[in-house]
Amino acid sequence: MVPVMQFDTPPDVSLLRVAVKRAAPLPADGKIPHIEARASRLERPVAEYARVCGFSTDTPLPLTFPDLLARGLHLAVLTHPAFPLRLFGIIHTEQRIEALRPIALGEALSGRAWVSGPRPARRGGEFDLHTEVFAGDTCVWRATTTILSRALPGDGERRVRPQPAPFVADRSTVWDLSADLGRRYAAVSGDHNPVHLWPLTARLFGFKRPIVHGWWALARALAELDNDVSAPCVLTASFHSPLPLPGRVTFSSGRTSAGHHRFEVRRKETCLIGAIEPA
Amino acid sequence: MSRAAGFAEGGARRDRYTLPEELHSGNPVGYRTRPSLTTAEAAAASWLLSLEPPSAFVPGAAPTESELFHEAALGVLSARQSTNYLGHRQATLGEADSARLAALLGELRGHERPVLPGAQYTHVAFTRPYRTAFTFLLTFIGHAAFSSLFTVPRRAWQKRFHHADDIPTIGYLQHLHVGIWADASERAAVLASSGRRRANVLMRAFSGAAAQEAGGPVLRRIEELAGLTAEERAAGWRIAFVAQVGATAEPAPLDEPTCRKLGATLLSLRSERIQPGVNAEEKAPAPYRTRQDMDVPERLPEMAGRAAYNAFCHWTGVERDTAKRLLLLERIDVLTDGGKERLRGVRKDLEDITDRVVEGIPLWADLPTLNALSKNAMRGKKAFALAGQRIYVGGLSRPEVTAAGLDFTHAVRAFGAASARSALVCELSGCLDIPEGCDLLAGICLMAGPVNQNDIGKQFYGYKDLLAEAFAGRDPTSLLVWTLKAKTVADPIGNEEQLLNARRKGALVDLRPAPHEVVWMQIEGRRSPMRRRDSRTNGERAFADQDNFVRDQGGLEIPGNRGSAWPAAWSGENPWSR
Repeated sequence: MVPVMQFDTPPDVSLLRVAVKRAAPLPADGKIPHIEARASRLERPVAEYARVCGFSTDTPLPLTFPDLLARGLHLAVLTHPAFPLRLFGIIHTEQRIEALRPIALGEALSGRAWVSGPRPARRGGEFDLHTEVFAGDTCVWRATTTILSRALPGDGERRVRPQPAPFVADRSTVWDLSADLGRRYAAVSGDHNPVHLWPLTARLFGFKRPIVHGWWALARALAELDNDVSAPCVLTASFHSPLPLPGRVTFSSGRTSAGHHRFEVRRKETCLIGAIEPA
Repeated sequence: MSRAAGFAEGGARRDRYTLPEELHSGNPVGYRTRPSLTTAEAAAASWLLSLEPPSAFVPGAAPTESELFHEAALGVLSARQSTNYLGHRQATLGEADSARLAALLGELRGHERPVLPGAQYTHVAFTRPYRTAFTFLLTFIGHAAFSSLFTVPRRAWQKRFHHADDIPTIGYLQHLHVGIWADASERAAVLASSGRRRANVLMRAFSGAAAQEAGGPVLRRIEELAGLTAEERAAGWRIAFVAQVGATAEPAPLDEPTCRKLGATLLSLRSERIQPGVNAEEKAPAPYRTRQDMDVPERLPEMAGRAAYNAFCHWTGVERDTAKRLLLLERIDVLTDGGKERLRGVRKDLEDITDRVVEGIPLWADLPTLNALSKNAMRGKKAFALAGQRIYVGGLSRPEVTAAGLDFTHAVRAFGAASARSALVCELSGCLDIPEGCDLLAGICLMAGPVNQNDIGKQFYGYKDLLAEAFAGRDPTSLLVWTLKAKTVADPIGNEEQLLNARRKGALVDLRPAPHEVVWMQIEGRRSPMRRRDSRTNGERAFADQDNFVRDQGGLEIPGNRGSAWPAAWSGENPWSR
């Protein structure tokens, strides 16, 4: 049992520490140990984040922003000596966010983050990074980030993803992704993963060009949806293929026959699919 | 019958008859279909086509950013005919600056109507000379073989630094567009505000060299107030007109749904060049190659003519009889006796001129560009082709215009407004009760190409004006050609793609601009481009709620065509009270 790490504010974890993080051996039961970090204050400027992601307002906070507030906690967990995986090369595959109520700008927040897993995937194993954000004692936002690590053994089994419900488009627009988008998002998010930054650094990790941060794509989609989406709601999203930079993608969204929002980001193929339903 | 376009399938090469793979444009128009209008809606549209200027402004609700966007969409952002170029810009001033501007306008002489106090906002419209790839080509035309080494650079210098034109009708194009835009601005203010506001458009005090000179110091102060830079001025940008906009006591007989529908309709209208079964390409799908058994009724051009006279009176202030005398219109259509023969004669002259142009292009310029200049000139033949059941050539006589006490440039602008309004009558008639499965019932193409080509012949090869025979002894200058078609098949999407897809842009046109490229709000003395905010630019299509987006037969849409609404927090605010 790893003791819970308790912080006043989420720690600054350097890129160097992320880079040199060594993989601990996986315990005998094959499970990632429960590693948890907590912070009694989550705060960070939001204006620049809102600008880079295209949000028209910073209050209530964008639905994706609490993840950034807790980013230091995530890194504290993932760089813990007991965490059995290296961080470079891991891939964000799915996201679930439960926004339980709108969060106002400047509201006093605390939070915690922990990991669970892994479970086998076709080419590696997936684990979940959980986050909860509180206003006082009340949980106001929680998220599960599913991450694929190819360092874990896969089972080779092809899983058929459930077909998203069809929707009648009420938005369809093209986004231009500029070459420096990864660097601009890194500057506001602190996520300096080299695969997002420069062609050369991306090439070191097997990508011909830098790729968009998954969190940016999700945030940009929510910014595009504007007032169509607000808390309380549950957002689920899956990342199907990376978005290279520079590039051009089509965003479309609409409602299903059940009245729920769906959205997708496509290049030649589907890159991101998301759904928003009432909480 | 309809165009029934679909997406290219199974790796087939796409062409102008298939739907585009996507739309990547910040322009609010997009690929639209004509909505079918009811008789009541058409009557409302008729009212719009004979708008009177407001007599006074009254206090009203502050404008929202969305209303300004929709107004710009129907005005500066959608030059309605195919000869589109980035020669227009608009500065919009808030209430306080509008009051300052009204005081400056009061110092100018020659307005066609009173300057009104109490405008909620004011558009200052800027224009520059018409320049496209076509005018670049014109630089090489009409020179003698050996002296061209000197005369071509001299003319290029005159064009670049003194804003001279190769041929007079190229200079008139700029002003025809200003007239079209001014006329559209009046309707735009009404439709964007759902009938609550009107525009008081003042154009005469800015038209022509004499007016520009007489108003000199005041014009500089207006330019400064509107944020025009010295670089832009040096590049030839000048004030074209001013549109004061405000709430009026006179209610418009239009409700909001009608305004929305008419707005979407105006955005859907396009130049229609093809008369099925007459001038379609061999590779065109069957609906374009099949001759249709319908005629443009005699009454339609009559109505169009009336609208043109009314518009000319509206913009020049002349009496209706004078307008009828000054507007020179020759009918050379195929439905009248001798029309076909006359048409053949015109076509032959235009083709002969093209051949002479190609022969005369200096080899020293053509060979290094792998004959690009002569190939482009040959390609022009298609653009100058006249096809339609009823064809009119229109123009003005400079001596007669001057004798009537009008500035010729202003008259050309009024002619542009008159032609656009008459074309609208035809196009809106083509949208009345469209039967199921048809695209439209009538179409029109307003063309400057044949006139420009004829002008090349006049200036360099001794040809007569297109109107010279019909108006002998009156020294006519032809300005535009109308070609009216009766048909149920709209032109291919490919024609519109020239204006929206950078990879398929036509040589004679510019792409339709995004709002931030040509419109700015002047806020506290600084230019704030419309719909460029933080990392975002416009992706919204105006009047998108009317859902008149092009689809294939299975209902599949062109990715990106529908657009995405601008954030509500931004579109709902008054830009001057952020």
